[in-house]
Amino acid sequence: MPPSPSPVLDAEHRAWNYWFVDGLANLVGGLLCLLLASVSFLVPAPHHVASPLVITLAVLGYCIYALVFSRFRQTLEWLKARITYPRTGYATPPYFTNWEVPPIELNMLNLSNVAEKEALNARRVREDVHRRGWFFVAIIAAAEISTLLIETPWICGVMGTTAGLKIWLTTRKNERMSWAVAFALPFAGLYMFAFPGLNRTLRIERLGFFLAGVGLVLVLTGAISLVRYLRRNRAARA
Amino acid sequence: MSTAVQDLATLDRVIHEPARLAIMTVLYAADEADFLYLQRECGLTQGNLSSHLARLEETGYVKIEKTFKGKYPLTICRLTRSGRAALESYARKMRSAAALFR
Repeated sequence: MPPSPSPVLDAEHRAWNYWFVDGLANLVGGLLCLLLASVSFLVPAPHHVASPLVITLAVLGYCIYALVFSRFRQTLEWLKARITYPRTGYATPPYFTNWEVPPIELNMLNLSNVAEKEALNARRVREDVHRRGWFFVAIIAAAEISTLLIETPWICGVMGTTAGLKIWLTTRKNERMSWAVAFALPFAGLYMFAFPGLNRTLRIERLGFFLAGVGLVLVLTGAISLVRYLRRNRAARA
Repeated sequence: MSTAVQDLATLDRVIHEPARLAIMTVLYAADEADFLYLQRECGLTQGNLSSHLARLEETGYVKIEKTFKGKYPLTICRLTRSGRAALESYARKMRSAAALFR
């Protein structure tokens, strides 16, 4: 691992990683995906009439999803207040409470020309994070939409699993790996569009397979992170 | 106009202390942090951190707020605007000081 260009950048990385260290963000996100996936399976195929029970369950599922999704951060903080903060303390990642705060001026905190170059690179990486975020959202959205047109459900599951891996890797330090996975997704999408038959119909349950793939990976990685975190840190003040 | 050597004499002594510099650096990077997180990140004892935070609060560089997240009591610390400016000014001076030894 290359040395950090400045103590501030190092502290910033640690604060960002701290948000994901307990796996709760992945766990809650994964459970939301699984909830939405199960709702997608409940939606009836075209020309099929669903029973009132199925419709009620689907609407209820969507409502729960919308509620938790809109209060995602509050839900996470509620969990963190019971699991993470008593063990390792509370910290919010940089620019988390106030997005208007200007980026940290790294140049000021570097003491030599070599470090200055590293700082400039680090700043470029930081600015790139924002672009990556949008690119990532666009890829996932494109993958989700394309799964509606794909004939074979298991491929939708594979795409979902790839997307889940992408999300998990993005929350870790190894950005190169996450880029590799990110590029795998559109290629998979292109393949799907090029080869299946032309008489495609929109099938919502295909989206369910995609979301189930994402959800399973996130729940699994989140649970592993949580268990590892709990083993490493015993409650300091419960 | 002050020289780089004269700048050395005007270094902020509150920030210049290593433990306080570490606290300020962590708070500069994170939006806000509690006592336990700062203790772990800076590797300080409870008493040490407490006294340094008190000094930083006294100078107006850090704002300390006691609150609750759920039922968990938190002592949240965040850098004030003047604290942020002071750290940046300190870094600027240290940078020019480092040039003296090239």
